[in-house]
Amino acid sequence: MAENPMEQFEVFKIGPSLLLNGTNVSLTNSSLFMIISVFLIILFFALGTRKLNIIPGKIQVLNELVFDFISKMINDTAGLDAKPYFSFILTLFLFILSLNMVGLFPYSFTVTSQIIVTFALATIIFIGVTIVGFIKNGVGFLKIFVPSGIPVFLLPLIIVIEIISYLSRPISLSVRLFANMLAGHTMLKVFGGFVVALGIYVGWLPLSFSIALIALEILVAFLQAYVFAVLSCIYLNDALHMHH
Amino acid sequence: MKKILVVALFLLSISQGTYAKEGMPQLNPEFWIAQIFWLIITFFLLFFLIQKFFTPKILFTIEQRKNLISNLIKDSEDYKNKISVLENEYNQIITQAKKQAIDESLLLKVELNKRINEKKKKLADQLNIETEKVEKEIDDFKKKTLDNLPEIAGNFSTEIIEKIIGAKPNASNLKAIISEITDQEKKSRYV
Amino acid sequence: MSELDDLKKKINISKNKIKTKFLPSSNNNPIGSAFRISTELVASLFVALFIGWYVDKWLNTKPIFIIIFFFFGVAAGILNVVRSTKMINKD
Repeated sequence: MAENPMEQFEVFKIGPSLLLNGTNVSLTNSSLFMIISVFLIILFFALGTRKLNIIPGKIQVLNELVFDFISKMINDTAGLDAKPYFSFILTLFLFILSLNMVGLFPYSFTVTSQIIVTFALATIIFIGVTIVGFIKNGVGFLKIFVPSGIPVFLLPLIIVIEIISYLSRPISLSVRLFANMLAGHTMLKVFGGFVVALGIYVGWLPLSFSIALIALEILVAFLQAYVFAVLSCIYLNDALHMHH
Repeated sequence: MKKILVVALFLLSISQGTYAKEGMPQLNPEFWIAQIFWLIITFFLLFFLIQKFFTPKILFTIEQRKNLISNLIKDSEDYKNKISVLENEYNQIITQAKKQAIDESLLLKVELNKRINEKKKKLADQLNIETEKVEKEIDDFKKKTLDNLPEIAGNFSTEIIEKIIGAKPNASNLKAIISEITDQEKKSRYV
Repeated sequence: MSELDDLKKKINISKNKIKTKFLPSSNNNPIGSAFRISTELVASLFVALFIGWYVDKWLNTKPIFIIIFFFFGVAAGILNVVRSTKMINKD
């Protein structure tokens, strides 16, 4: 292997240093690809909604397809009460999907393979869902940690376990996305390195494997964005209709 | 499987505190704050744009289309009802007309038959009268002819004989012969 | 009327095609893969260990709480896994 397969995840500063209250908030390659992804989504919608018609154009159809897909998913997982959060879930899904897909291009950077990014996203959702839960149910939202039909002497134990389970949500949410993207890209890099190392005679074997892997990664990129959105909806559902 | 591996690696690198160059560059906290900062900016910018502009626009269009389609369906439903009413009316008229036509044609047939029979009868009557008349005439004529026959035959025979012989034959002889022949003839005809 | 019937038939055929073509099979269910049990288990354990470690640091009782919370973590992980499988089976 010519290169370290982990090198692709290196974050580095581009442009001048930016300091905000003494904290370093410089533009990095990671931030650059966030901006590119967001720009692509905006472009997608701007092109689709430029001239809205009752009989839609090609890009408008795609826009509406995405809307349909997400609203169906929200209905299936969180019900009709989750309608006000449609835009948020849509943004979440498209943001992650775009980051994953852009990351698949050669020489680009996969923002979602940064644990801190996925963890920040999961934390935003975690905090948001908790706030929604408290707004909707008041202090009664704390009952989510107290399952019904449990003997009193077991209750403290169960409450601790439930709290741990609740707190583990952002961890599992972020680690799932991060691990999938990291593993896929590492393997792509490793097999790419094999292709170069083995040369023209034997190299086609890992090359064909690489191609299959890229197809798989496209699927994974979509699936993980979808899963992230679905799980957010399920957590939202828990907050909206407490069933414990 | 690969996921478990990665998670194990992740936990391992946390516990050992190996950063950047050796293990995973993701665990180098140098740009963590910067990434979170930009993540929040880009994510909420996108959220703002989608919430403020794109969602209302597209949902409005979808709603409009839904309304249009339901209106069209209602319209077509109305038209369908109207058409079925018209069809019923049309069918009624057609059956009525058919019935009327059959009645009328029956009536006409009867009338026609009556008139034809009348005409036939008249014609037959007339024909009978004519025929009787003509038969009578023919009989008269026949009688007359038979009566005149000897005279004509006499004249005719005289002429022929004169031409053949060159002299006038005896009229009374000739007459006697002719009357004999005609009598014979009469007998043979009226036996 | 017959044209409408034709259209209905065509729509039904297309619907069936979509169903057979694009619906993921049960063993490749995206929700199923969402709840891959490994992450659920490890995440709970991680949170529990972190809490245990922090409580130990706070109360200066080094390995006691980390051990207690290890068991809590395993229990929470199993709870998560049970919930996940329930949710997969529900779908």
